[in-house]
Amino acid sequence: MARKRRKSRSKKQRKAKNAFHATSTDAPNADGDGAVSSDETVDEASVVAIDDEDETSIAAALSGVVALDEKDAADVVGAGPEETEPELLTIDEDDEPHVISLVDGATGLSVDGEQEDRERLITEAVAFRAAEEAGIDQQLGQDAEEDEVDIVQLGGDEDTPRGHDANPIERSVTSARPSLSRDAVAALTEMQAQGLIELPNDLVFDLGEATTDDERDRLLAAALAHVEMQEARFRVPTAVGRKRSWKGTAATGLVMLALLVAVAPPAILVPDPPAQLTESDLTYGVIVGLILQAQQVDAFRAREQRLPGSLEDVGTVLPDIRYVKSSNRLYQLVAYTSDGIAVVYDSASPAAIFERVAQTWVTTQEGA
Amino acid sequence: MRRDVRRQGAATADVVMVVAGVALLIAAAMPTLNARSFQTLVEDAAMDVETLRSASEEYFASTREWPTPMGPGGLPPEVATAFPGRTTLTRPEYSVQWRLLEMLETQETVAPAATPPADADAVPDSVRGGHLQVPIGIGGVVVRSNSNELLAELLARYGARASFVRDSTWTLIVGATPGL
Repeated sequence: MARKRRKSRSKKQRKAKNAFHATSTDAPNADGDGAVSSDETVDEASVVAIDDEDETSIAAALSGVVALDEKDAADVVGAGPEETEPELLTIDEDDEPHVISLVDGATGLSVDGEQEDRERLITEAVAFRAAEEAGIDQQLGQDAEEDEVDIVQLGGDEDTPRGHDANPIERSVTSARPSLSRDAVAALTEMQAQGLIELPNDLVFDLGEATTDDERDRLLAAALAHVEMQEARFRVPTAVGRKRSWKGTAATGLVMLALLVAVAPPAILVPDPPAQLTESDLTYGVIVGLILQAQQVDAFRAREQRLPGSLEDVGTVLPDIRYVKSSNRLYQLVAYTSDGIAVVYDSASPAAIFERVAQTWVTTQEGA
Repeated sequence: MRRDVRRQGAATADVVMVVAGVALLIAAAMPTLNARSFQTLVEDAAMDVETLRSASEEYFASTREWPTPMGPGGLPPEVATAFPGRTTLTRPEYSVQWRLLEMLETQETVAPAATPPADADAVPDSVRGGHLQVPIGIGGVVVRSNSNELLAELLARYGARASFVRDSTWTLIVGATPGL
C-alpha cells in the first residue's frame, strides 16, 4: 500500500517536476540566471500556477510540489542558491496519513490542503504571474533599448509595480547613466544601415504618466541616454566622408582648372589680341606732333609777321611740347619720346625726317 | 538627423562642383567675352569719330567754315544733329573732341605783266612770280583714352599718315585747303 502510494507520489512528483521545469524555462526570473532566490519562493509557486485559466491543473501541480521530497525539490530548484532548495516542504513518509505542511517563507502561507489557502495562493500566484510578465516585457523593452538606444521604453503598463524593489531594471536605469561604446554605436549604425533595426531620431515623453519621482528619474535617465546615443552616433566616422571625399577632390580639381584657365588660358580659347602701340608709333607721334605745332607757330608768324612769345599766343597747344624762341626769326620745339630721348625741331634747319613726314602728311591732306 | 547631415554634405560637395564648373566655363569664355567687349568699344569710338568727321566736312563744304572747337567731350552745335539724343561725346572709356588747327599752304604768286620801256634800248621791267605761305584752317578729331589698345586700334584703322598718337590721345587730321 505504502509502495503504491509511493509510486503514485513518484508519478505526481515527475509530473509536477516536468511542469515546474517547463515553466522555469519559459519564465526566467528577473536576474536571468535561472536561479531562484529565497525571496522568490512565491515565484516558484506562481510558476507552478502558470496556467491560470486551469485552476485544477494548478492545484494538481501544487499537490505534486507538496509531494516532493528534498532531493526532488533540489532538482526542481535547479542550480539556484542553497537557501531556496528545501522549498520549506516537510514530508513524513512513515506517517500515515501523511502530514503535509507547506510554508511559504515570503507569504507565510500554510498550505495544508485547505481550500481557502489554496485558492488564495492560486490567486496570488496568478497576480504575480501577471506582474512578472509585465516585468519581463519591461526587461525585453530594456534589452531593446540597449540595442537601439534611442528607442526608449517609457513603460506605460499600469500593472507594473513601481517600487524600487519591484523592478530591478528600473533601478539600473535610474541609478546609472547608460553609455555606449564606439563599437556598439558602430554595430548599431551597421544594423540600421542593413535595415535590421530602426533608430528614430525623435524621443517623445509623455510626462502625464510620470506621477512619481521614480518615473521622473527614469524618464530623465532615458532622455540622457537618448542624448548620449545621438552624440555618440554623430561622432562615429561613416562612409559619408569617403563619398564626400571624391566629390571634394573633383570640386578642387575643377576649381584649380578654372584658376589655371583664368590665369593662363590656352591659345585655342584666346582670340586675336588687339593692336598694341609700338615704339615707332610713339616716335612717329612725337615727330608729327612737333610738325603740327611748328605749323601753328608758322601760321601765327605769317598772320602776325612775328614769332609768338609763347605757345599760348598761338592758341593751339599740343601736349608735352616746349617752345624756345632763340631770336626774332628762329625758334625750337622740343619733345621727348617715351624713352626720354629729346626730339628737337629747329625752325632754321629742320631735320630731314620732319621734311619727309611733313610732305607725306600734307600730300595726304591734299589728297583728302 | 544623420541622414540630414549626409544630404547636407553631399549637397555642399555638389554645390562646390557646380560652382567650380561654372567658374571653369566663365574662365574659358572670359577671353572671348573680353575681346568681344573691346571690339564693341572700338566700334563705338570709331563710329563717333567717323560721324564727327563726316559731319564736320559736310559743314565745311557747305559753309567754308569748320565747326566751333570744343573741349574734350564737347559736342559742337553745328554738328549736333549728327548725334541725336546725345549732348556730349563722352563715354566711360573715352571722350571725343573737335579742335581747330592751322597749316601753312604754299601758294604760287602770279607775276605782273611786264611794262614796255620808254627807251627802246632799255631792258623791259619784269617781276618774277613767287611762292606765298598761306595759313589754312584744318580740323582735328581727338580721342582721349587711357586704353592704349583703343588708341592703337584707331591708329591702325585710320593709318599713320592721317593720324597719330601722342600722350594718350589719338588725333585724326581732317583738313582741306581753302581753295577747295
